[in-house]
Amino acid sequence: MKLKNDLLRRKEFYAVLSSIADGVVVTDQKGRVVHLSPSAEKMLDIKADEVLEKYVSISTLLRGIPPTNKNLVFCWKEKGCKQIDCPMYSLNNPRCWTITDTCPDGIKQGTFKEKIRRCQICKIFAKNSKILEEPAVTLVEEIVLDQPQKKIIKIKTNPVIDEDGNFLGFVRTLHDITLEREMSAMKDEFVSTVSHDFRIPLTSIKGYVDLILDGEAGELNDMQKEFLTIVKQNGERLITMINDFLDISRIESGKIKFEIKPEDLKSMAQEVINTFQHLINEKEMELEIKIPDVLPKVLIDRNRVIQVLNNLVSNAVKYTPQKGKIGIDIKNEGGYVVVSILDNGAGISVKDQKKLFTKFYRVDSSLTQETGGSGLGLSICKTIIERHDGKIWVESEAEEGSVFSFSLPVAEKIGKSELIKQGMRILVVDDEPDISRLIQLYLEKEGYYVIKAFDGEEALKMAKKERPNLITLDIMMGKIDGFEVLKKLKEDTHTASIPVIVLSVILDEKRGYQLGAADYLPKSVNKGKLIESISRIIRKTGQSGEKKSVLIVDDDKDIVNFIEINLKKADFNVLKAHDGIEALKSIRKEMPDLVLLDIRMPKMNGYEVMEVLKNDKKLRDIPIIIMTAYDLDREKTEVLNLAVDKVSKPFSMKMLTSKINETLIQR
Amino acid sequence: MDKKKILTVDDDFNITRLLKFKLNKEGFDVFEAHNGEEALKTATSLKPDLILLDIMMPKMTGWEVNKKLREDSKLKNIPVIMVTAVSQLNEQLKSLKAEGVRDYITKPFNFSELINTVNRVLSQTKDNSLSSLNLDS
Repeated sequence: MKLKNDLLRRKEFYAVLSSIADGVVVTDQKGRVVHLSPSAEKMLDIKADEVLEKYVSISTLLRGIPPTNKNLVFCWKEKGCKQIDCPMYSLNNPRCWTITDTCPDGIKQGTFKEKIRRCQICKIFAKNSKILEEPAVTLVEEIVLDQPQKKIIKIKTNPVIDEDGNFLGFVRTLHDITLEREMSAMKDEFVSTVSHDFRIPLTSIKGYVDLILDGEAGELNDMQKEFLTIVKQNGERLITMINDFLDISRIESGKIKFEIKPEDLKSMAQEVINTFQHLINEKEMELEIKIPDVLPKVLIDRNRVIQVLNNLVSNAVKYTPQKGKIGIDIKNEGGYVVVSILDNGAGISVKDQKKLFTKFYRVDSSLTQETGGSGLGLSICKTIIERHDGKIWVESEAEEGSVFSFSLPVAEKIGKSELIKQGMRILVVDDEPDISRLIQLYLEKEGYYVIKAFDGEEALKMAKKERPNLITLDIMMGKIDGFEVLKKLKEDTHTASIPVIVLSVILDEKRGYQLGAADYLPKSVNKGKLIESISRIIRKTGQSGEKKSVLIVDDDKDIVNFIEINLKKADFNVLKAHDGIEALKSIRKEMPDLVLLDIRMPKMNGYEVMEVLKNDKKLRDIPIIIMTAYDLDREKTEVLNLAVDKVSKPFSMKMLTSKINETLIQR
Repeated sequence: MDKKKILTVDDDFNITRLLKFKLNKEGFDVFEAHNGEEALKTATSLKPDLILLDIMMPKMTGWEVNKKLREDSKLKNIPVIMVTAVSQLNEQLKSLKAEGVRDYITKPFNFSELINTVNRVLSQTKDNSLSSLNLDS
């Protein structure tokens, strides 16, 4: 009887699943398709029978364009990738790491664990990981389908996690948004036409009123002048509204291309202050400016951000009474520059604060009635700042004044590479794959880049090699337990500075802290607490993590010193050696992150140094950049291939530094 | 010295009248045209020193009028100021860099802006250098 009930419920369950209007695709934890709803079949023009129980990625289902063979061969060769989740698989040819025969000769099938570790240095993987099944993230993306007919589909991917926290797979909903997009395009077209057509009659209204006010149609009495001035002001207000309206529609629809460049906010703030100086003087206001001497550049469209600054400063001046006080405060806070505009005006109620940035919302008070405006200004600011990956917010207390702030990402933080953009790297150590995966899900959702280790030994190795920004550590593990791992991490100078958060069912906080843990959290993992702890610790240790060390090897002392000065400026730890023997000594002792190597040196030359390094298991992974004034010997090219890059003397420091950064990021 | 002749082209009669009134007061001789064909005809007979040209006109747009002006050896040196209701956005500034187009004014305009632009373009044309639009000023 119970069995029959279960069966019935199962049938019901599938009936419900199949009746959902959006397309539904369910995959299990191994990536097999276990359900493809009829609406998904229709949308993708695919029969469920063709894919059920097969390893078919969503990109295949969507007829995504796989990377070319050339890309992959590069990946296999250059990155030594032995088990890339080959995006070449198709319906009849599943992933290369699940079946060996799609891999090129001599490449063996590896485990999933190895794959993850390998692939995170691979650009192709990073680019495709969104449409591949791993790493697991909840995400929303839009895909344009050409077959069977042109459509835009919004895909929401969610992990399926049961009551006990087990990861069961993914459920994807496919929602056809083609019509919405068409409507939105029509709306944009409408707005732009209307605002154009409104300008024409306004030109006449404004023009002729100006003529009359200028006395061109005869003398005016005071009352006529007053009334016409009201007409003129409201005409101008209407023009502002139309401009703002068009502006926001164009920004939102992406029609305006932002010209993003590194810019100095300091000079921009000064420019804006100059614009408003006479208004500030007129109202006898006090202006307080707090800008640090050293401020990193931000990646922005200068004109657009000036527009935001103008808007906020203009509001502050407008809504602050005579002899009031306004201020501009700029701070550098963990990868973002935060700009605050302060005033001691009437303040904004909590209710209004929430709606302030929405379109057409205007605070209802006598003050705003007088001052006009379109109700779009702040909403434009919000759109602009968010297009820059920044945030905008307000803090205010009634009668005390308001602070409007926005944040913009620092140029270096984004510029260097995709990997850094994806955020901080966190090593998750746990021997339970399910828990490890769950933590990974949590962290990736917050934008962290996750690498994983499944036992203590592996954890120590990876910590040393990958130098993550933070480690989460389980205690109860086989072989070496977490406390032992923690102890070893803290004893090793290379890993001692990496903050560790212990996550364990064992409540021995005291021991954890004694061994140097940065935090100690109980299992089962509380997502909020974990994220909060991580962001707190990372803020404390500074965004950039620890300094990377570079060994400079050259027999010319002047060159060594020259490079040293420049690398120190670029925030590297610098080690020096003046011949091959000194170099090897230093490398063994200090394990630098990178070596800059001259070829022609006394005692032991660069070739010999490289040969020794490459035959040493411990040292072979240290990247080498060759510096040489000579055309490199032909017969030694084999040895030279062991270096990751080379620069010819004379070289510019800028180029060298960028090569170093590039190399270190790829590691 | 002779009065400078300005031709204003706009399909909206109110606007040509407005421009004519104001520019007359500033001491210019102003003529009107209300579509592209009329504009080209008047330009040929009148040889104006400057043309104020609306963009969005039925039948022939301001761009087309400008192109025809450049193709005519007798008219190709006449400077043009575009008068447009399209809001001033950077990407449009670039497309305004067409031959002969010296500047632009957005509708609705201020009289001071109008007169400054007209005077600037006229004084630059004295050297007969029909280079491209000066966007920095």
